[in-house]
Amino acid sequence: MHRILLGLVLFFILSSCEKEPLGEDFVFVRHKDADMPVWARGKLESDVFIIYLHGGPGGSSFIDIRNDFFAGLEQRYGMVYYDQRASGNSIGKSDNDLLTLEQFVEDLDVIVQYTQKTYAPQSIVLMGHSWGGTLGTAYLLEPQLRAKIAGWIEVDGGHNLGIGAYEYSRDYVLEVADSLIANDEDVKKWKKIRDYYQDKITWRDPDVIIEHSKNVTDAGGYFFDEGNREGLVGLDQILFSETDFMALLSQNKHVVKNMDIWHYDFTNHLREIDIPTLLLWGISDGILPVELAYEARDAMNLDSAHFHVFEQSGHSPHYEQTNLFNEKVTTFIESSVR
Amino acid sequence: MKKLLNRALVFSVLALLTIKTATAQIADESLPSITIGVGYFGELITHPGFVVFGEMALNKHQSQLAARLNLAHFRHRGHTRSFLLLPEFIFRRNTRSCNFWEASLGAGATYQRADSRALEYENGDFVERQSGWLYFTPSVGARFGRHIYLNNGRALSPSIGGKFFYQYPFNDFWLSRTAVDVSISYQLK
Repeated sequence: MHRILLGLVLFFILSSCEKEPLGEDFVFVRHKDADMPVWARGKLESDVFIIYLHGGPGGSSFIDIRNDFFAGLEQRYGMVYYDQRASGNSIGKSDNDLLTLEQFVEDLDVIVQYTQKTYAPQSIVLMGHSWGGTLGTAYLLEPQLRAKIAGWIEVDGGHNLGIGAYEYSRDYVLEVADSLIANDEDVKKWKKIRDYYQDKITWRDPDVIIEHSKNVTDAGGYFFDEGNREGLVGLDQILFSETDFMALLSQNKHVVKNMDIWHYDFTNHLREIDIPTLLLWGISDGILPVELAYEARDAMNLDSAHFHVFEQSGHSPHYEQTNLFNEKVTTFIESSVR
Repeated sequence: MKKLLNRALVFSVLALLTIKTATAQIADESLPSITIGVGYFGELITHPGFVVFGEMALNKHQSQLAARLNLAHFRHRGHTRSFLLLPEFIFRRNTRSCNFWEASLGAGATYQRADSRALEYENGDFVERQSGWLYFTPSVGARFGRHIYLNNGRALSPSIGGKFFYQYPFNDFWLSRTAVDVSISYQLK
């Protein structure tokens, strides 16, 4: 008994060894009862800084950091990662009433000001993935805020979360369902999924977006290669990193349930964003399908140097084609921002 | 559903009977026994910390009722430190072979603060602040251990247990957490 207990104590003490400290450039920035972790990494003396806007809503940039998706960019530029209000590793007592796009835009401006004051770069570039694309677009549609930003990179982003986006995404799932039913694969399940959409005309309902997201997952709409899902969030991150996984998982669910965003459609306003813009999209994205990218490209009149579709990516080309992704971003910054 | 309710009712009656027995035994004891302890306290098992506690057992029989005050700490290095002040009500069952198991119910507070610099945005400037948040913390727990009786008749009790607790209002919702603690306690009297 004693030996077992002693062994257990030793195991827990030894297993509590964690990854390297976060360094001096990790701070919490407090604004309106939210303490948002801000982590600046990479070449902090660079004249170009990229602020990364994570997806979700309610996601976390720590997963991207720990997977080193932007290590190639960190070699050249300063990267600022932050977890948004009530998301990921943020702490505090932010009220549900503050879970609005307007508040998140205000918070982003606080982070932009923090970056300006702390590092004084010549150029700040925003890079928004998924919901981060909604947030970045909303920020850049405010002229006085846009004036602070030198470049915009939207990655499978939500500049349109309205009915049109829902229909593209729903049709993606239905096409997969029809195809699998035709091939006699898991017919009962896919017929049930197909029937689910018969009376759903919008995803502006937390239950619908949660269920739809599960269906997109089953349809393989997040990854080009389902094998890439493996290792994205390993036990290593859950048990041995600084990440607060209980908070991360709970906050994601909480924000999705309480944030009314699934109706914003900025497509007709995209031409107002008159700063250099790069659109990057995965061809087999099922949650924000590539048709949205073509619409944005046309609305912003982007040429091929400012638009790229990744042929072997789903919703997250920075996960699935990391090197090519970083190459595209670097080329854009060197040719259009600097 | 009805079956489930019936089972819950039977369980509740049995639990009440047990507590009644224990309460009767309390009356037999003139002095409560006092125990102090220390242990490893790990949120999600591996985010390390410690717990110190003092306990007052209200009797010394097979079914014990006790009150415990825990002071615990755990850390996500570089991210946050959390401190718990957690009073608990404990029901313990001692077996004839000196093992014991217990269930606990508690309500206290968690203070969580950033394990790094914190800056507050104020009118376009950033002011250094202590980041700290106080949350209400209810908890349930379970523990298994063994009493080892020393020559002086006092018990030294290693044990392993788990706690499930909440932080509220963490960004306006109930944030649940789990922790394991491996501790050893010593009976003072």
